Amino acid sequence: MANILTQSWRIDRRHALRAMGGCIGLPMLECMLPARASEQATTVMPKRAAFIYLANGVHSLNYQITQAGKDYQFSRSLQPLEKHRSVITPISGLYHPGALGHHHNCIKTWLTGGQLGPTDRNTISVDQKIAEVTAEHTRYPSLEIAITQDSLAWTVDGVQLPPLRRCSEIFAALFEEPKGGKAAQRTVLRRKGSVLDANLAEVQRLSSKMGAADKGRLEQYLTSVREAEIRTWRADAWLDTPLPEISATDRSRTNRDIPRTQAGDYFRTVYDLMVLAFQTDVVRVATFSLGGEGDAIAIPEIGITESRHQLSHHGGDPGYMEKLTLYDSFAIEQFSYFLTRLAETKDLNGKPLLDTTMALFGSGMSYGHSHGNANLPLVLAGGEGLGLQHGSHLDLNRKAADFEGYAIGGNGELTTKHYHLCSRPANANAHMSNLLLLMAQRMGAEIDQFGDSTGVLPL
Amino acid sequence: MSHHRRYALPCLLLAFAFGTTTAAAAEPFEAFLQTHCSHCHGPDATEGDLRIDQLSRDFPAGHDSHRWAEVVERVNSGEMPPASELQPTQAEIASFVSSLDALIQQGRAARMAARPPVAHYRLSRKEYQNTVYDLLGVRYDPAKPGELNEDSLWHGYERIGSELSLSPSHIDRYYRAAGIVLDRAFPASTVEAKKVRKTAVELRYGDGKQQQAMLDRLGIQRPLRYLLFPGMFGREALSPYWFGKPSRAQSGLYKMRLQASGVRPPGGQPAHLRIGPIEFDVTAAEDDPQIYEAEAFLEMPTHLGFKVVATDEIDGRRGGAFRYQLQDRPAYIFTHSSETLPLNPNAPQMFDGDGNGIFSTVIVDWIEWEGPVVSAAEKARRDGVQPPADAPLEVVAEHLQRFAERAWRRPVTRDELQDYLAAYQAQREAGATTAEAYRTLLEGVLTSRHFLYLVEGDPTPREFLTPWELASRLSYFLWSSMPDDDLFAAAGSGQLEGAATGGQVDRMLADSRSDRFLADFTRQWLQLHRVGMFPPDKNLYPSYDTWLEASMRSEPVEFFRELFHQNLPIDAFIESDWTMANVRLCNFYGLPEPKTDGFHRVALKPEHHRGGLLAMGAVLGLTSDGTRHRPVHRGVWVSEVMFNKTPPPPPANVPAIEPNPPDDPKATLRAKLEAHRNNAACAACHEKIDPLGLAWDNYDAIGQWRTRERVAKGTGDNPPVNPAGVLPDGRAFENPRQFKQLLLADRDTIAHRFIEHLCTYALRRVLTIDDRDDVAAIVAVAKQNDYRLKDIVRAVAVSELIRRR
Repeated sequence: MANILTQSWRIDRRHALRAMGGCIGLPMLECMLPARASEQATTVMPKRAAFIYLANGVHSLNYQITQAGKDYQFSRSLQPLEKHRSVITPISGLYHPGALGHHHNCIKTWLTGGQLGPTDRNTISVDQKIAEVTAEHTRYPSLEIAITQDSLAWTVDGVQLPPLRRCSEIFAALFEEPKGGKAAQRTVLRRKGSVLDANLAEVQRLSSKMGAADKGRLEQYLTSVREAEIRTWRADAWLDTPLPEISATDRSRTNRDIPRTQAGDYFRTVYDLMVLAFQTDVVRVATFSLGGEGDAIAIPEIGITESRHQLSHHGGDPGYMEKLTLYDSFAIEQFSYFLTRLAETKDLNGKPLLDTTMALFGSGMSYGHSHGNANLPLVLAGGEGLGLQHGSHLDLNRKAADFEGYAIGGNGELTTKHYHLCSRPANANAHMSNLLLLMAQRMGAEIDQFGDSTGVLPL
Repeated sequence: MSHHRRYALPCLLLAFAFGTTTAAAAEPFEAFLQTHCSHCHGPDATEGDLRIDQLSRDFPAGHDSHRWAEVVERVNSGEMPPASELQPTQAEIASFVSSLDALIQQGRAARMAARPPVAHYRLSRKEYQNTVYDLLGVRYDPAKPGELNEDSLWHGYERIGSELSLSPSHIDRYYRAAGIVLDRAFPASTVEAKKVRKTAVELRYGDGKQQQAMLDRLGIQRPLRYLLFPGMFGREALSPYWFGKPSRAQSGLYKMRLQASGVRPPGGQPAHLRIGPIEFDVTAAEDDPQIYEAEAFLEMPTHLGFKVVATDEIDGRRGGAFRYQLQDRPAYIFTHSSETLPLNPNAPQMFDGDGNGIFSTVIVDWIEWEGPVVSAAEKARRDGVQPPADAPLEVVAEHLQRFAERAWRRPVTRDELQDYLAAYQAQREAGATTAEAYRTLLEGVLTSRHFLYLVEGDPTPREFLTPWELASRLSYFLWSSMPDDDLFAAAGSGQLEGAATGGQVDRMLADSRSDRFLADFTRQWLQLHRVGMFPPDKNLYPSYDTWLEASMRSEPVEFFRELFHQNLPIDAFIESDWTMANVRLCNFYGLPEPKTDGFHRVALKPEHHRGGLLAMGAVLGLTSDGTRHRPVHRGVWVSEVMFNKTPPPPPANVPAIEPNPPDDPKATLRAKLEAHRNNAACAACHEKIDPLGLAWDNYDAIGQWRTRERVAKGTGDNPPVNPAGVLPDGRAFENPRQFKQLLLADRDTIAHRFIEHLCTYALRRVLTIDDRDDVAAIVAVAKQNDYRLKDIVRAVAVSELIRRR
């Protein structure tokens, strides 16, 4: 087991020069090195962050926790998280102003806090913001997984990153030796580097000719080629660092393809892969969409054969609402499994991995039937080693001056009036970007603003 | 309400006319702001931190577009002005919202259409695919998982420059794609085409010895055949192992031949067989099998299975697979429907006592594949691309320059290639062979911005395209691909200027590559990507299956193709006494069946309730949600596609329409909608959108004609459909037929909006007010030609507008 954890790593300048051979000029080197590569990086414990997305909101009447503070009672859907009570914080009342009224597009801004519209470019997602500081330490900058449809990650240019889907594909991307061995791989990377370098030189010449004029798409091509080239050189340099060894048990458990009809196994195996990736420090930030807004998978094993989108438009049908609730608790139970695995896996210093891993679970929608994008269902877990204090229900609704309490009926259950809260924010200042800013800061990003944040969420 | 009628007409003009509003001083919405908003959101009081007088009125710059959108939103949702204040009338809201929204949309269009001195329009995935085929004769499927990223759509369009962005991951994937394309063009070792034939015995029975022994024992003379039934777990129709060791290098064009017959149950569907990308009806009789031929491009290694597509499926779990079996064990055997000796009495019956099929089944004798096939014409495109093995630098540079000129679609100077040639020399010095080092040059050409984008303009701004830029714009418009040698030659010899362009355009329209335009434009214009996006509920719509869906998706494309080739007036978009249909669609629509497979022009009678694009299954289905029809979605679709006008967005979080309660009388969706939009703010917009959609209430969520709406719960009978309505300009209609007549009465508008769509497609950008005169000139030409489709396309292709930067 001793070999499993690789040490943190940074590109050594001399080594990088050697790796690049004669094909590349010095100016490239400057962009290659991260801006704030500091000396202390190797001695600090790694910090990790994971973001997990559940599409179409939840059945809010069975999800909402109605008491604030430490002595809250778990709702029916959140029950599977009871055993993690001391290391989680359910959060109510947050929303993205830019997502209001944008229906299923809420998935696009869930991690960005950006604006949506035909001429609006999305902004960087928080995982990519975090990757800006963690990428220098790890073999891969970030990990994007989505079982169906799009990933949650957006670049600084507001361009969506493509996701990995199948478990074997994720395993190969993280842990498989490159094809044909190290030398062959190096030749391939060098060739790619020199092709991209020539593309870059050509476009830079035009760019300088144009001076300060609006360059439109040219700028995007330029930064993309430059970034792709940097990644190529980084991959080249990493070739000399052995890949972490994965035990036969872990390998056989995770390196396989699971049909979509076995949702539980699929969800858990992706979580296992994320734990393995964090444990071996090949990557420190990961996003995982359990499925897109239009096509989140069914769960035949608990009798759900409808797509989640179909269930969420339940139209008040009690059968559908019950199935939606079952789906919610099922997804939350798998998230609970992820936390359990993080808690029982040891980090370098012998402490649980969960101590230095923040995991955010939730949706960009709360009431799916009429596309309510306020009072988002969110649970933040782990990361106590990064200074988070858990154990309470953080209720931003109750912090609004004119909040009149939850719409609880005679039988003690929430009434459909609660849906209004899920459509229109009670607390206008409760921007979800404030939470994303908190997470970015705890991961080491030196920023005091993210998306449309108005401050750091206190936690 | 007479008050409202007075306002409705100006509103409609505003909504549907192109650019009638300009940012003049006395905008009508200002008066509304003054009356209803300013005293709380102005200099005297700034509720909610909003000062409306300070919001920017420069809509094209878009500084405050989000705040303006919020203003529309709040008024639209009835939240503002608050109940304690003076309330505007429905007509005032309508006028305010539509005029402000028109300005916001115009501003947005201006920003989307903004062109820097050098503009870059990225190729869509389909265009990339066509371009590498036309450049190197290489087949490559960029839509396969793991290949190129999906293109983002703008109202169905795949090629709007401001939507197509690029990230490092795109670059990685383009680089990878370039490698695959070059491997296929110049393979390290040639993959020989192989011909493989598999008999029914090999496909279904292993060695078949046991079954043959059984037949001998029973005294059955007939040979073993392979019975495929709907719902059967797909068996292999093609395996990469049949062609040697499975590898990517086997990818290419494969020709298929199949001997089979089909069984069609009386009153049921013809047997329909799908083998991967190939599908067709099998209509040959059981005793008279026929040979079916098809070809398909396959990304290898891949496995293809047989699948019989039909709505009536046999549930395999009930033992359907074993109807024909050896009596002592669960092994399968089939020779002929009349052969009853080996039957398993407990499994579902496939044939009745008279030998009629109960399900649609296919009986296969053998299948044959030949591939990968590379034609001489494809190979010819690679001639002279690579320099000889020991070529000196000068020769290498000449080859590179020639290739770059074709790939970049314009003359290329040696100077532009210096970075690439320097990389080549570095590689050579590091010990690479000419071929190895030259390969990096080809990769460089295929990952350059000049290949991936249509590049238009120079650092010094100019008004018109160069002949080379025009050649590319025309070829990507009409062929979805790069120019051919003729078009290059025309660009080089000054034939692409002024009136001379017509000759080239006529040649291009007559070329078979214009098929790509017909399919690509129709799909994008009509937003056909939405067909099947919400799969219809199997219980509510048992007659729907994937073959019907595929047929529906083809109908509008085939219809457009027919209109184009016959050069018919575009009135047929709205109403026609014919459509293009295959057997499956004719069955579905209740039309007489054509005798042969494929699409045919079929005549329509009034009682068929079809005709025009709007009565097609694809359009009616894509504007429904799989469970029920959506009148508002249909209205928005008609508005966007036929009038090129997107209605203002709905306010956020409108309460949804709940299903009919079990104790209430059954009510139509229309009745619920009307009860739903009970406030002035909602009615303001819906009065303009809804009639366009309610006119189609006679068609359900998959496009079936009905006179009563099926309501799941409630008391009493299913309620009758009411498709009557009043257009925003006051003209009334009783049914879809009359509605179509009203639209046709305004054929000039329909044609104008269609031409705008066509120009957006051709120019790869949205239009702005600046394009108005150029568009009007095209409309004038089109009108002279009675709005005939081919003439319209030609008029766009030779217009002044298309030559403009």
